[in-house]
Amino acid sequence: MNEMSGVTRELARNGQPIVKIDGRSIVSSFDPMKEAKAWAESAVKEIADRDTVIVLGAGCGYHLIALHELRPSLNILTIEASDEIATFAREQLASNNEVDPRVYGEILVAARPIELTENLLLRDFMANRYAVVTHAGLAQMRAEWTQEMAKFLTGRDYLSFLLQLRMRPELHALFDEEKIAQLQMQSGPISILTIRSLFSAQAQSSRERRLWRVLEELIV
Amino acid sequence: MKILVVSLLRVGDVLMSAGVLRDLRAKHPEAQIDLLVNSQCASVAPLLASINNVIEFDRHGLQRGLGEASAPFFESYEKLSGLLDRIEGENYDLAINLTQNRLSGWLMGLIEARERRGLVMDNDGRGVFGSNWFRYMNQQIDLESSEVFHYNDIFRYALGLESVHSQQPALQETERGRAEADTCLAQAGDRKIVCVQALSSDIKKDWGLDRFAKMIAAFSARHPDVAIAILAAPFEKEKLRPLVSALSEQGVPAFMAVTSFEGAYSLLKNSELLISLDTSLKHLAAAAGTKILEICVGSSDPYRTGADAHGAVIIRSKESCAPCVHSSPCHRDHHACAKRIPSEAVASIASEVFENRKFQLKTVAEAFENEIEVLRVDRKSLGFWIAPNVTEMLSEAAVGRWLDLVCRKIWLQGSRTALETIGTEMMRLTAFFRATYPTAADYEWKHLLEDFERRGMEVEGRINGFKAGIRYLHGNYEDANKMKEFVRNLMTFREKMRASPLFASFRRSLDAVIEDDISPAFTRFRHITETVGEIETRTKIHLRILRAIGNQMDDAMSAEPL
Repeated sequence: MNEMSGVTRELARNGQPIVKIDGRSIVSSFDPMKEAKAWAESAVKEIADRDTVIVLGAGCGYHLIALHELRPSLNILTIEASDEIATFAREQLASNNEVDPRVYGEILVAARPIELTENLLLRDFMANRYAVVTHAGLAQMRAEWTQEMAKFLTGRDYLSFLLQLRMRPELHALFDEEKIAQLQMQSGPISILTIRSLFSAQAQSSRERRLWRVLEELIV
Repeated sequence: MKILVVSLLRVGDVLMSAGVLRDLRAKHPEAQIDLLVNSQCASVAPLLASINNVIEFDRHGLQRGLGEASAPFFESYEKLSGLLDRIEGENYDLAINLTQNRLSGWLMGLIEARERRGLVMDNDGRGVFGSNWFRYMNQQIDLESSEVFHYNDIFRYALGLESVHSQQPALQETERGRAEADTCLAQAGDRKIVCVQALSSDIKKDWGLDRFAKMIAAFSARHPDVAIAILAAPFEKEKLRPLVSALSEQGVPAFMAVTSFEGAYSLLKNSELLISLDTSLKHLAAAAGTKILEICVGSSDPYRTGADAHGAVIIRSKESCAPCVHSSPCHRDHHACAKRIPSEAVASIASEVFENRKFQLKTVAEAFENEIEVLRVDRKSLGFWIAPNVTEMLSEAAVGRWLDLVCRKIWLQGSRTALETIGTEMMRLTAFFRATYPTAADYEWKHLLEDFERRGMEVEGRINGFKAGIRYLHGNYEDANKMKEFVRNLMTFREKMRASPLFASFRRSLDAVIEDDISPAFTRFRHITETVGEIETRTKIHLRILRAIGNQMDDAMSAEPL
């Protein structure tokens, strides 16, 4: 599971514990909490009116603390590629709130999206209106993982599209199975044009098809 | 009863239809009337007294959810589905679509209501309207400005509100609005206030702050005791600051009035006049009962969405490219239509409107008639919104246009109503003609009306010929040559119509069938039959009205000179 090597623990200038990967700090090595608060403020704007958020990257846990402080009612789920970083973040969260570190949400570890397809907790989260936000330091250091995971979590690749359809059987029933299978060959992300092509001939007058027509007018 | 009104355009459109909503409330005093609007229009909800609930359509949020790679793909679907569940849960008896775009049409198709009026898209993507008026509204996008009805009239006729005359104001003041207005009024002291809205939402509709500065200075020189309130939304403040500074330096008692829509409405209620571009402020002023001078630049089209207030004055540029197409940038290297409207002309007209000097308005308009056209809104004479040019003289084109509008209205109202109202319409028209062209001599009227009647009879004759042709075509519409020959005859007829101001609008109906070379033969044949039927009915109405006016004028002529 652990793809990372060279994970080391150190102290930032202000004395807070941090981790480095191959000698590079994944958070500010001066004041990680100050940096985390700034990140949380911009993340909250992205989250807008949603009650659920999936955070990509556990970092050192400070951004999860800051996020919870800004929006205490937010349901947070974090996905991390590295076991070691996840363990470190969990320790920080536990030391910050010894009574109930669960307020910061769970941290799932997955190196690839396919490892998450059967995860029930993730499915619960994805059944709500959720936002996906990325820890700034990790987005730079693990760009490929971040992009792949974000595409999966937003339902814009084949695998997660299937997962999302499983959670929406009323919509799935209106699609042509053959056309769904052909999506495997599609190179680009799933888009509203993809949906338009999936409806079976019999489903053209369904409520769902007409609902997507409204959405098409907003984009196409 | 539960009514849902769908208005998915901009703030100005929602405010413009406030009078219609008020009349709807007057017709259904006990009903729950809800309004579905784009989220950015929800800020005007506190002003809408006739509405029980405002439901927000989060257009931008839905677009973001679909378009941004970081947003969960199904979020917009879930969000829209949730909105529709909420709407369905209300079990509306009547759903009304005041918006004529495909988005609202598809949405209306999803709204379960016992009755639906306005554009509804059926499963095959065809528009269904539930009223002749809404069908006309959908078609009139291609019509010349002078051939159209104001949107508010279309809504009123389509919803059967023409006989509702509510005395209630269309908008209501709020505490917040009054507080904001009080701050502005304190700056004016004891002076009368003239409000100026110098920026619009579209750069193409702007006249230019330098021109506004010159105009306000000239106006102020004539009315030194008047305070000028430069209206500004909070985001316009910085852009307008130089205008206020420039005016202050010239000694003009001007101040910036930064308000919300609620504040602007309360301020307008305490002001004498609004000088505005084509903005939502003119609709606030119309509801407030404040005098209005509208400056139409760029794509502004007063005939469809002008200030719905009797006596409002509209200035239009005579630049050949105006009005231009909405939502495309100006194609000229300079904003020619704005440049053509002289500051001095606007200041003079504003002064006449401020002083209620109707006749001097005509004199000023004549002085600048090479540059601008001055229209005066008349809501009373014909029973619907019209805006005659204040310098208009008796001509075939002018009279033909008024006659055609009235006849079109009778036709759109349906044949039964037509028979009942023809007398009323005739009397209104006669009185309107007398007032608008007071110097026209009896012989001029006689000549004009007889000429119109002769042409109407010619059209009637041609239509009889087409009816015979249709009977023949009935069994042969799949024969391409016969269809072509018939359409060629229609084209010749259309060219003749083009020359006649009274029947010019018929050509629009003919355009659709003549240019349709895609539809299957039967569909095309059906459209031809319907169009010929429409022209036949409209010609009959024209002739009845013409003869009735002719008789009325004959009687009047024998009593007094016209």
